Amino acid sequence: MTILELDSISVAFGGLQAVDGVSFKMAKGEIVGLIGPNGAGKTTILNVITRVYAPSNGRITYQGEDLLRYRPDQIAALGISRTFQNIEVFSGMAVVDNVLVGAHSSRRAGLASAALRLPGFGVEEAEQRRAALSRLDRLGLSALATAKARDLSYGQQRLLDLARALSARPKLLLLDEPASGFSTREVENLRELLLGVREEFEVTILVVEHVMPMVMALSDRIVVLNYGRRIADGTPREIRSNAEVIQAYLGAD
Amino acid sequence: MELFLQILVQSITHGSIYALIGVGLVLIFRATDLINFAQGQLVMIGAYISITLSVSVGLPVVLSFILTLLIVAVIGAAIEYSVCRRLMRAPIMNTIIATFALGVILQNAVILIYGPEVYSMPSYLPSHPIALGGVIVSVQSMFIVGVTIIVMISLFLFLGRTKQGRAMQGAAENRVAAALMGISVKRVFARSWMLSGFLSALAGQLLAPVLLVEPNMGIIAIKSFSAAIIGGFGLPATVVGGYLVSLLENLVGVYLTVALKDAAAFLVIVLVLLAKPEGLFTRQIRRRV
Amino acid sequence: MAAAVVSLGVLALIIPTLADYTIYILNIIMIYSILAMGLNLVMGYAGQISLVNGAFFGIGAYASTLCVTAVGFSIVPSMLIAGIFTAMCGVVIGFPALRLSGHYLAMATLAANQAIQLVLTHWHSVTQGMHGLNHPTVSIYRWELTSNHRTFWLILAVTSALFVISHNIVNSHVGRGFTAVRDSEIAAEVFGIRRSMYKTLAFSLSGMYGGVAGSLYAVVVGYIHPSSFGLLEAVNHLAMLVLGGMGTLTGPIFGAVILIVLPELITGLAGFRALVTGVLILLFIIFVPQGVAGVLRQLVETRLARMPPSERKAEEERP
Repeated sequence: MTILELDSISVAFGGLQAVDGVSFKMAKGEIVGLIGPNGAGKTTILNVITRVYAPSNGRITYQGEDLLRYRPDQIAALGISRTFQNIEVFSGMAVVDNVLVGAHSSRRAGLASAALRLPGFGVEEAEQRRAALSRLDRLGLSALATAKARDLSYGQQRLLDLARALSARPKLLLLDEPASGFSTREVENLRELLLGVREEFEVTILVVEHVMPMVMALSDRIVVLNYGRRIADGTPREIRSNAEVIQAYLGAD
Repeated sequence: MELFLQILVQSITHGSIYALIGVGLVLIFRATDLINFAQGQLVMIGAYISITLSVSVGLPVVLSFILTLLIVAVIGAAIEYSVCRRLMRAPIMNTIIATFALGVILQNAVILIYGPEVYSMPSYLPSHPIALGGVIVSVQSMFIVGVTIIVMISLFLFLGRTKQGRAMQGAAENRVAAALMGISVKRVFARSWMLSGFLSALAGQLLAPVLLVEPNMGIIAIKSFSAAIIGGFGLPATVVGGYLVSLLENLVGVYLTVALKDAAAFLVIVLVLLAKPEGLFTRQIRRRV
Repeated sequence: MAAAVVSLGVLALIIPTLADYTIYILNIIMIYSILAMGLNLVMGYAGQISLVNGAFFGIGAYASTLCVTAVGFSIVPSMLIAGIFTAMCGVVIGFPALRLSGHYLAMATLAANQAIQLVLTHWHSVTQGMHGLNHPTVSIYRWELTSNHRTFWLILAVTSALFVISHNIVNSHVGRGFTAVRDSEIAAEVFGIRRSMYKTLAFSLSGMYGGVAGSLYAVVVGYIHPSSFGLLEAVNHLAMLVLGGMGTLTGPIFGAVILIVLPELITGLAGFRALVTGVLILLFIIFVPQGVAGVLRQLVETRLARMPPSERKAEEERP
């Protein structure tokens, strides 16, 4: 069952064509890797899906609906969540609060309920806090729950970014270079974690990544971009032996 | 028709002042990525120092004029060194608050030293107005416009043709690249503040004979903020902005009511920021995630 | 809860014994802490620069006074109306905030502050302009607020209620929404926090607080004038936040105390006070940007860090 379909998506910034007619599909529960040299348009694709950018052309269908109808703040409620290349944790907030924000879109309570502590607020808040702490525990960050996000190490912030994204209980998870800067062991841990997440939550994952061993071992399928165009779409094995891909990307390694 | 020409003359005169102050604002912004909310107070200080030197100390006019320019330039550099440099890595809000507080300090220091009364700067030019083709123009007006033109041309030559000048325009955009290219970022900062101080003192001294010299005269800088916003903080565009703001407020003052004259500048700020915050003459900049 | 009742009892005993001027100062401190709390929500938590707060103070004062004098409402409804009206003004002012940030927002709010002061000064038919407006003695039901001592209790009630509300907001998903917008607008939107709504909400809350404070101010001083609600006032509000500490719940209170008490200790010309305020803001923003509340918090955290883990956990879990 296709959960996400990009159809001839093009994105232009002024005179620069960042993405040019890219199409691909994702089936529910798949892990798809999105690779390509720097500037190939990978993060732009993620940004279009999360509605930060508007495409100049093309359609995106998510769970059968036209995704382009939605505002950036509405995609969380649809079950889409992401991590960021530049991390973008909430640096002034406590770690646990960062994770709580992840679950923001599922809050029923409104301003009055919060300001006046109407019945129902406390229960929801306590429940979400419990869930957040348990999420931190699963990622090994519970000792840092009350620390300020800016005081965490780079690797810990990456994990926090992931914890926050997972806390939104997404159906579609977009990861932007989650293994950047990780050691081999950390990469392996991340891979196992993501496989476990996919198992447990039945979540579909789109991973933008440069760390080749990770992408190859993790993905069911890989889509390759170069200069904003899709140049390949296949299994890791197929991609590894694709001449054009090797030339554009792997060969330059 | 005559009325319109008179308005035009008035607009060009005041517009020159707004342009001078506005350019000072933009220089600091383009070099240090900081908006100096105390710019108006630097103008005010220029006027006060000028009066002190020429009236109280009794220096000859030309000497006190030039000395004032130098003194305020040095004050500008002192501010950069003691305040701005310490805030280089602070969040934007802190730098805004800092220059704002600086303005408060300068204004109240002046009130303490000189008292809250108003001063009148004796005119250093012949005061009889001249008739130019049906329009009355004061010598002071011509002086203001003349000096502005000369200063602007020199400034643009300096910024466009010299290495230091070009450095001042680029440093804010990419400090690291600038530093790597051998440009001393600190020197660029200091120079931009000095130039800005120079321009403010110039504006203050050009204004002093025309307006009353009082601690609150720095409020005129809001017009220059308007100009800079219209110009998107770009250099020639801000100059144009200064004249536009002046024209607009004079038109409002004459054809609507005088009370709304000041409001015109505020309205411009709010409208431009709402419609096209990057200025009327610039292209949009986007942040990439 | 018990602590609150006890404190109230203690206050009931002490307050009547204090001098009129002392009570007046306490009233002013509380009013200013309301202003600071409101500004703290928009600047400290939502991270939006707001130099328009002086104008909100003025709008509230005038709206409330007019409700009392022209319409004939009693003080509590007038205060509520003033709060709501100023909140709506906050929404309007918040509109530019949606697309601006940093310097541009500072300039826009500064321009708005000056423009609103101009309106208060020139709209003679409504505000009496430079004549100012007198605020009569009001009463709550039969209880006439004829003295500072009596007004104290009204102000205490309002200030406490607003403090509790700001505490509730900050420690909720709404408060987290504000800080999320402050720290990363882009990430905030991804997780469902519509930044335009939150920014507008922050401004309107600061408007509400400012409006209520203005209303109480008119009651206490009895006479309002446009000159009190301009740039200098906005600077005072800023000073409270910088000195007290932005982004903390107690910061505004510290800030209000410092702002009001300090001039009492430096007797002298009005100009001297403003100069000292400016110098303090500058020194603090460079050397102590976290404010008094921030320093205290750091001291507490250092103390916690030095404790052995078992004791620390017990301390952290205390409500």
